Amino acid sequence: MAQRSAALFIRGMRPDIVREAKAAAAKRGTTLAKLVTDSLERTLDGEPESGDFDGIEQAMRWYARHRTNLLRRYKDKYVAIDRGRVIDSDADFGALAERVFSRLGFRSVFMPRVSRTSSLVRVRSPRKAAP
Amino acid sequence: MKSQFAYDTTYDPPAPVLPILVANPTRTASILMSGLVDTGADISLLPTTLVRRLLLPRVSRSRVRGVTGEPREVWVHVARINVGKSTMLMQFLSLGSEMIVGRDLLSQIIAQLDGPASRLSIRHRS
Repeated sequence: MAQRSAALFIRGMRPDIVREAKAAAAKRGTTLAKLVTDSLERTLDGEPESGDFDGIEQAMRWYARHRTNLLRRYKDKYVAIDRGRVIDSDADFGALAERVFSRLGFRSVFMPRVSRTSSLVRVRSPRKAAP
Repeated sequence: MKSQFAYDTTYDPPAPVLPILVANPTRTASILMSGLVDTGADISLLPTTLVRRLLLPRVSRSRVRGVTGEPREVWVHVARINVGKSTMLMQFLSLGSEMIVGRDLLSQIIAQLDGPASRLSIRHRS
């Protein structure tokens, strides 16, 4: 299911930042809206600004392009994707992650479970609201 | 070996929680967390502030849906955890402000809920 989108108009932006953001979006093959949304999300979520963010985004795009081929060989397995290729795979995520971190060091590496569709995970339990 | 943990009475009604040591994969930083046992959660969750503090690496992105509301996309991170005597690398969604122990982690252990005694017992597969 696609997420809803909203329009945002911002006054007072520095022209050089806007120019750089547009160039960065074009370089990554994405839209300015996606680039700004991702940056805002990372800031609001308080996630670390890791230097390998571009790497994992590229790996995600590579995976999306090659998913059909990967399904033939790696269906329901976890694969580690780095620099446009599968570097390792395993049915057990923990075992794969151990090998990948000892090989590449401690950094973000895209390790999806190869499946036909993107999974939707559920966190079902409701909580009582505070009085 | 069996370990027992009292329910957390700050929840109403008291809730089963599991003490878990969460570390980054290289074990250079760790924190002891109390994870709410939630069999309704497909995957375990870590608070985003903890993910940031431990600099947990990203491994994928997932769509998640709560009880209500639209699905949203969030990053999946990896952490090394200690539960009882077991150490393992697990995937966690970076979301919210409490640690949720979902069925992905619960499937690794044998857990027994004793409601009247407000006690959670766990043991690992031999």
